[in-house]
Amino acid sequence: MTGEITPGVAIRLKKVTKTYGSGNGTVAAVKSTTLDIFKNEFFTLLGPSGCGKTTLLRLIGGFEYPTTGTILLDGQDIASVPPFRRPINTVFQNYALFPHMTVAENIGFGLRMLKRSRDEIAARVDEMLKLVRLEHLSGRRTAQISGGQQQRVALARALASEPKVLLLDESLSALDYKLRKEMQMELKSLQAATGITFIFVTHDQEEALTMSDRVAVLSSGEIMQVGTPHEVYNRPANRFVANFVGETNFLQGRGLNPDARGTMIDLQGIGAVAIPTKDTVAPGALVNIVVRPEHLRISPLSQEPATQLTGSVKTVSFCGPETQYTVELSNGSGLLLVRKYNTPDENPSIAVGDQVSVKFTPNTAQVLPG
Amino acid sequence: MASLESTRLKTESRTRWLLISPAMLVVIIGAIAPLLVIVIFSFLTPGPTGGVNFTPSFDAWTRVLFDRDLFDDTLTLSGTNLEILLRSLTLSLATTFLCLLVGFPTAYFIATRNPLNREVWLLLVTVPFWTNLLIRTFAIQDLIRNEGIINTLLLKAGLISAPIQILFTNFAICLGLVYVYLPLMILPVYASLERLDRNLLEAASDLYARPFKVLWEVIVPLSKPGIIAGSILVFIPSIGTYVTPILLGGGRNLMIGNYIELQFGQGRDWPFGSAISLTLMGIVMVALLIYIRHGDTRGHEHG
Repeated sequence: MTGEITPGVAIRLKKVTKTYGSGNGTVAAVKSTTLDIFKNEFFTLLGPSGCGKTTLLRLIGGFEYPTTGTILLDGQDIASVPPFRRPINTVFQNYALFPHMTVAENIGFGLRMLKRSRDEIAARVDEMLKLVRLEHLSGRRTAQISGGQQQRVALARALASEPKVLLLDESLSALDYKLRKEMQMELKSLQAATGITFIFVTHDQEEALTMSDRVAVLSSGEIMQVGTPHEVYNRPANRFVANFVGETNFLQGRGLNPDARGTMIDLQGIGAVAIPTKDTVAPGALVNIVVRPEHLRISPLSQEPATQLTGSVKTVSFCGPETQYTVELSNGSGLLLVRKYNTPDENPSIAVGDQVSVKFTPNTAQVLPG
Repeated sequence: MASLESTRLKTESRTRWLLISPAMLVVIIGAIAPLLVIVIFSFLTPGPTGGVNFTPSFDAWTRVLFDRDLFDDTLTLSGTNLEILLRSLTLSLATTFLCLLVGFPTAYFIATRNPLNREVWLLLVTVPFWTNLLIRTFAIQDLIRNEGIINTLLLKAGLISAPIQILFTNFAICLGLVYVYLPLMILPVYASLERLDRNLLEAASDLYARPFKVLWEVIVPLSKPGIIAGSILVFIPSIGTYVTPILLGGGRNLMIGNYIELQFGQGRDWPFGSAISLTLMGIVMVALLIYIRHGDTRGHEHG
């Protein structure tokens, strides 16, 4: 017990690593990870499958022990504490409801193991059933209720004993789209209502952006970036984050000598463009310019002079609120994804094969090292 | 249309009967007919050299529980018969319990190995079946007799001063039965443990259940079908066992199977043998009903 209490921090990971196997067959599932998760926070671990996000969650839950490093809960080292002694509960990916128990017995299981009184358990179970709006199903077996209801039972079961931290392992991925959207809102409001720290694992970037206070983006066992959804989306720290969180266009560029307008980049096919950056770009250095599809404006090719990208439309797909275009650039630097919001009275004015120009405002773009 | 439909149904049901008739024939010839013979025999009187006289009588059934006095025909409760029935019941229940006690951890151990090793362990469990039952029982005899390996080792080690009498005791019979029927417990229990969702164990542990509670609250209730199947598979053959009590009980500690054999062999009392056989069937059926009923109520308690 290190007794290192930092106010506001619920979970602190210090240089946590997890490797499987031994000798030459070692696989590092989590590389040295240091991370603070705050109290009262909806925190999301986001990454593709195999990035180590679930392993990280399992380390916090106690189902795996770290190879090296410490895990602090409210300042106390819990790295080697078994799950049944951690005030941390989990909503499992497949819910893991006990099939031999009713809904109410499932919800009361944790409290029963904590040897709470019968009356207290009954009262708390009723409260939880009300919270997830399943009062009418308390006596049902878990096999007799729908996927969405099972999900809510799993949630109620994990919240019943008022854990300090709630872990959610891809908990919404088995639900259909509509229900998932609904549960996202419900989870978010539950988190606000209970004040419990939620740590959510998902590979769905949209879900992560919608629900989280902060997001950690992971790739092959390493944290790529931690930040608010806004930061992660608009100021990605590197190419991986830019690519994984939302859709992105990468344009090749080369640094120029900065002038009064700031950092100057020589963009292929456009020429010198001033783009705001935090870091200075050395003249001649290769860089990637990141532009989100919704920040590009597409219009039929006009006779305007050079400083624009031109190309021919390859595909047009109508997606309801927006239309997506892919444009093959005429300077040969590949495909560009453009998203345009639809208005009700609009006629599709751009069709496949059309020559178009694509413009963007430099301050919506971002420079990443090449 | 309706008549067409009814003709179709009639042909269909005829085909159905035709298809199950071979199985029905086997069941009638192999199970129902012999049983009927035994029921009839049990209400007849014994013939002079085995077989039966076709004189109806309840005598065989009376003698299952009572001894008839040779001189004045009074009935007294039969100590011998009750003792044999009770011993059979106790020994087979003890065998079932011990098999569960040893078999459950074994099955759990196998179910938690990686799939490749599981196959090997399962194969090892079935190895005893490859050898004849008699040979295996003789081997046990050799292990536990007074000059056997166990007693010799204990004597040499100075732990005992005189050999322990193990052979020809009830304990020896029980030991032999557990050894013979253990795989019948391990296999069904393994089958239900292997299907157990490992996530449920983590969920229980996550919800503050200590390892023993995880076992008692989740693993045991969910493997109940395997436990019930295994117990039935062990209990039924062990209550009617024949070879083990002879070789390990030394003929002094008879079980019901030996007693039945005695009536049809040396005793030449077929009706009595039939009556005991049917009694054995009755005991097994009652025991199963109680067991399954009990298992069910426990299930309801849990959910």
